[in-house]
Amino acid sequence: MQLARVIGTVIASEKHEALVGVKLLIVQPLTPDEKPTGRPVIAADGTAMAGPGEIICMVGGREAAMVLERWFTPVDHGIVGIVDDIYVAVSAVPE
Amino acid sequence: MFLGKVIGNIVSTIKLKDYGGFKLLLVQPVYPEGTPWKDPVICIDIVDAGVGETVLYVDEGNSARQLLNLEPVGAVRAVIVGIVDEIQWQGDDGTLQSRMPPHDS
Repeated sequence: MQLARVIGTVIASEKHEALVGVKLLIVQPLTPDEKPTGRPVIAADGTAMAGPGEIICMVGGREAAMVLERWFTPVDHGIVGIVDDIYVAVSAVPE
Repeated sequence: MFLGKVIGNIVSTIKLKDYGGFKLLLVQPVYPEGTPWKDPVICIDIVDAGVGETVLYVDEGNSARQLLNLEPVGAVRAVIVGIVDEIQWQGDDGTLQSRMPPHDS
């Protein structure tokens, strides 16, 4: 799972029938110090509660679709949780 | 499976029910000698690992679902499955090297 920040939403009227009713969010993957890493991706929101500005936890690959009720769905990133706090022990981070 | 070093933890209240009751740790993937090779990943911890420890984790959904008894459907992927006591590897010069990662930081 990776950390990411929600930076926007996507609205699509014409889409695969399995995606009807699914919230799609644009998320920017982050490092634990909240710096962007890599390109933004579109993720299906499994919590149905994430919104722009929030830091979330997402899963990629085949597991992404399993955040949804209909889990045999063409989705490659899924939001699994909304992050309240990130604790990093600076002394434990390797060089 | 991959080697990683636990560098912190994540607190999340609103999450999928698949994740209920599990501890989430931030794990920095490392080479055998301890240097990072990619961005940290968030792992479910089932072995009571702690910050500073070097661990073994799987980053594969089917294994994760089996470990957490979530078959056939669970949106889980990265799970810590072991705490490393000693690592031995062949260095660039061909000699066998080893290290014993500390159990706390």
